[in-house]
Amino acid sequence: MSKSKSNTRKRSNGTLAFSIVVLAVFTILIVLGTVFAFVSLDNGELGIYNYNAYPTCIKLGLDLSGGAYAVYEVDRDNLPESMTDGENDEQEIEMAIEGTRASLESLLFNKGYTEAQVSVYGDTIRVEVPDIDDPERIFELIGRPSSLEFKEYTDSETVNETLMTGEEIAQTGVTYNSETGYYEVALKFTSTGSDKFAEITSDLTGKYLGIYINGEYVMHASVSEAISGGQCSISGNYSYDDAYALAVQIQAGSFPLQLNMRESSTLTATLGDSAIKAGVIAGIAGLILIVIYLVAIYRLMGVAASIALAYYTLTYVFFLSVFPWVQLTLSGIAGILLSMGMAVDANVIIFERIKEEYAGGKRMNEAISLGFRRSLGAIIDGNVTTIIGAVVLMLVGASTIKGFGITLFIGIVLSLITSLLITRLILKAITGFFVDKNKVGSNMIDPKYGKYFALKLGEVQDEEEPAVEVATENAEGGATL
Amino acid sequence: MKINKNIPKLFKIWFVIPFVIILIAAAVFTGYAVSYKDVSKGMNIGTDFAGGSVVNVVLGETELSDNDKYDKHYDTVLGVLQDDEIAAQVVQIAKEKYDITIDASAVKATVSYSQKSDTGASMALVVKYDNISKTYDPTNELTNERNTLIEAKLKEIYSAENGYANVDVTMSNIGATASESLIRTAIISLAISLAIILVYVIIRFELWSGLAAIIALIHDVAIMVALTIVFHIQVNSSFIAAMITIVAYSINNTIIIFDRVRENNKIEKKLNPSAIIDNFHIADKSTKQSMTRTINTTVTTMFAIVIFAILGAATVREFALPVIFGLIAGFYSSVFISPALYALMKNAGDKWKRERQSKASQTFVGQKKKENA
Repeated sequence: MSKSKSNTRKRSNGTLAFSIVVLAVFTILIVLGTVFAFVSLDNGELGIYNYNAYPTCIKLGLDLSGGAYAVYEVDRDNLPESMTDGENDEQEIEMAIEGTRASLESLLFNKGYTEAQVSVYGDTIRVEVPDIDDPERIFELIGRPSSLEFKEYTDSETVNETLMTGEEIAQTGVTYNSETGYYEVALKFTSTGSDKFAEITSDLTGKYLGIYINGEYVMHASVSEAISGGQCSISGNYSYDDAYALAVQIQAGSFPLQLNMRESSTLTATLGDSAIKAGVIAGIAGLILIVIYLVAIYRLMGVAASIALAYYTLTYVFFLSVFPWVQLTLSGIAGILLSMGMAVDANVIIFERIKEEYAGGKRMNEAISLGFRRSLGAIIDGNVTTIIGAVVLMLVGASTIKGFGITLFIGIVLSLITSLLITRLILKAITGFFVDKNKVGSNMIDPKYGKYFALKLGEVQDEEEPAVEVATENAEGGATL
Repeated sequence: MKINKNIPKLFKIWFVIPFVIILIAAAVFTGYAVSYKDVSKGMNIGTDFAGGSVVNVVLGETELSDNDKYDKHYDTVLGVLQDDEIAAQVVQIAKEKYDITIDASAVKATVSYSQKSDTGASMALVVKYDNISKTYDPTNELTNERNTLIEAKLKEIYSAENGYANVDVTMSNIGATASESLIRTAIISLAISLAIILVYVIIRFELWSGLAAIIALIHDVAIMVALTIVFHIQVNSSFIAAMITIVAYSINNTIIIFDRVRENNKIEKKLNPSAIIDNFHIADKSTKQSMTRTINTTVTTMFAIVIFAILGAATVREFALPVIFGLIAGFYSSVFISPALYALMKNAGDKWKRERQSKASQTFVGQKKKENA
């Protein structure tokens, strides 16, 4: 208690200045955020680079922006041996198609296309990738699906038996070797792949391992020792582009089946502009209604929450536009709309608590700080449960659900920051205008301004035992202060 | 607002209402299933889950970039998809070739969406629509027969005689975009979140709060699904997102009330350490103390999504309406279901504990007596 009092005295002289600075800073931030949200600048205007309003940079899903699609067909003439031996062939092929579908989906997810759709019909696999306007980009993303094999390399004439297929590769990537100054292709094998690869390399020590794609020789490398641990890198004095191209090629070869492309083209949005427009209008109108509602109920406290809400909305939209793995779909828009309502939830809890504390006989400053402190537990518990949900979605869910989890997670963390820290700061700034002028050097709020904050004395909810209630609250308060 | 009655004590009324809604949903489900003679039609499942067919009409940019012309062509395709003659022919083929009795209404295609594909002269109108239900047509043979008829009719309409040159009409089948694995992982991740949330609530609160909160969440999802069936809203993959959203947000309402319960229990224990706590009183008091907050938050969350549902097209409503149902269910369960469940279970738990304690102390006393003797 004594500590907070000394703080109060120090700050009191500058209370008004503090209030003005805080409110001015947030007003400027919100105005700038709003302007940059709606205005785009073309090259040359005002002598700066191209600037696109940041909400327009949010990547959109298939329903809102369309994209490109490609239809692949399983190459029935080039099936792996196990699928042509007459034993459960159809079942194995079906499983392999499903495996190809899953690896295509995860590949696209890892490239940030969380809303890409991969669907299977019979022997065809249809890939739809949102937010690109050239079907060729699909091949850049997933490569031209092909089969990859590791064989012993003796010379360019002889083709040896297949030792291992690309199915066993879990991941490919490009790394930089600072010693040689060249890029390398890093391979990571699945657990069965790691064992197999260790076995192969131990057999081939001192010999050459060749990589064949679609049955054609691509490259070979000398094996200096047995490689265990499930990782290896292919170094060949590559530039970044060469290494990347090879990595994509190998990744594409990790599909269990060889696919032939049947058709590819672009697609327009199925919902498009009208849905986005409805979303923007609903967002703005909803925001205005929430502000009116909050101000009507909580007066100046509502104003503080409204400023924080405006700040939250702009920051959220900004984060969505810069974060990878965010591809907004219809449900994403609805998620943002809901999150605005939920973002003020913590403030509603706090304000109700402040009203209660004040009605129970606390002075305004005390009621405000108690209100924030005593609602913290409930707010944290409530949000942690939601965060648990979001994190599980991010970790366990399939592509589109993962993306949804990420969007949800950003929203909750931001709303916690704005409702706990920013609302408090703004509320403090606002109360700075209502200090009791009779008490020089203090920042105590004049009780006559209580009505501006929707605070009323003696409105104790539970009429059965008000006296006891106040007494215990005091006892508790004393213990925590 | 002043409610004098103890809300959780009226649990008999509160528990009946959700069951009535679920019963109505079951009735509506049966009604649709019977009228289509097909169980899978009880719920309006979209092509995201079921797959469908796609018709491509290559009309070129000049015919399709103009909105009025686009709408005209779209209406033409829609007319063919719902053509009575084609439907009658399909019904006949079904009977003669496959020995299937099927209603004409069940073979008419429902459009899920339309879009444009490609650019310039090869720009095509793409319309995606549903297949004939798997109940009748597990191998899609009948669907393919229907599609051939549709294709022929469209080719006839867009033929050279009618003044169209080089209009290419193609049909293709499309698989479910919301694959089984997507639904499976969605259900698994929901189950895992529920389990972790349960553990967290039990640690931070108590066993009964955790159980009540999880039951309330299951209630919310059940009501959401039930109302979606009642209003026969089409269900697509966005419905999964809607369900997750509701679970994530709805838990908040319940937690806030249980936080009050936790606090009121503390106060009560401080005041009368030896007295038996009236859990119904505590639950009621906590619900009422949080009532303003519960209402305010539900109202602020509703604002934007309701406007979105009003302004948006049918597809928007498909997503927004279930969310609104879920928000209402979440409000209902956090005020009327979970506090009552908590009080009921806690009372039973407390009683059991007291009985065990008294038994334990009795045997303890008995032992002492023996020792003394």
